[in-house]
Amino acid sequence: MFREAITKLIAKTAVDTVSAHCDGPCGVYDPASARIAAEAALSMTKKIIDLGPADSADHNTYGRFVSIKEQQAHLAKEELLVLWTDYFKPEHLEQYPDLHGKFWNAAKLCSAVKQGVDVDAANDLMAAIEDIHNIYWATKGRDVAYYVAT
Amino acid sequence: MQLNLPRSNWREIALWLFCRRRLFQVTGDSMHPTLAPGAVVMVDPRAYRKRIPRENEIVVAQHPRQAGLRIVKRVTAVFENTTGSSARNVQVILASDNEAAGADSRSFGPVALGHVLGQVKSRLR
Repeated sequence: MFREAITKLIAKTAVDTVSAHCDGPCGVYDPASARIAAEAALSMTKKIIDLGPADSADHNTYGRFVSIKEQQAHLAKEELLVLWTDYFKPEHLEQYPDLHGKFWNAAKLCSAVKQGVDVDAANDLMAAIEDIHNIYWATKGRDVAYYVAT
Repeated sequence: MQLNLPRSNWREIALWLFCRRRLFQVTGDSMHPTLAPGAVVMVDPRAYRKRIPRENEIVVAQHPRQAGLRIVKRVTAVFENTTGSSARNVQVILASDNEAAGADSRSFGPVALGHVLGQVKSRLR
């Protein structure tokens, strides 16, 4: 149609852009939130092991440790999923083709930390988050040192 | 209530010829399915000179915190802050159409009417 042709021609003259990027509005993402939760889960895993077989006096403490460990492991997973699906874009995937694998593995590790009392899984999760930290800040063009609280 | 954005008709094209419309190309997919990345829209910069925005209108606005960033969003609420001066202090809440965009688009708070650069009236492509 004539009008279609005209609109196509006019559309080509558009030089200004408006952003509908999902991260445009606040732009505040930081893998640190996942790291803090994962580190808390690691800490609780160690505390549960240190506590050893609980006698009846320790049942309350034991229960709290387990509860906090599971909460924090789940929070770490949520923070990772938000970062993965909301921040990262197809162009990042071109640059880091194994990005999906890294997030999938990290999310799986969150599940392992939540389900069991597994120091290795908790340490692997911290390493996975450090890896994601490095990728994230590289996409931002910033050199941000990774650190842990404990 | 108009959720779909109409294609530009002859009237819109005529208004563009008379400099009453500005063209913007959309980047990003937070306005999916209404606006795909690469869509070109016609914006009326004078739309809010005589009236305030209404809910569900699509607008182009200056991002409140990132200077120089223009965003395209849908108005989800309009309210007037009557405290303080006698001048009208209209604020709008903007949101993405793309629900998968997550919570982030709801985090930047109300946008002053002065930051709203115009109303998206139609789509060229």
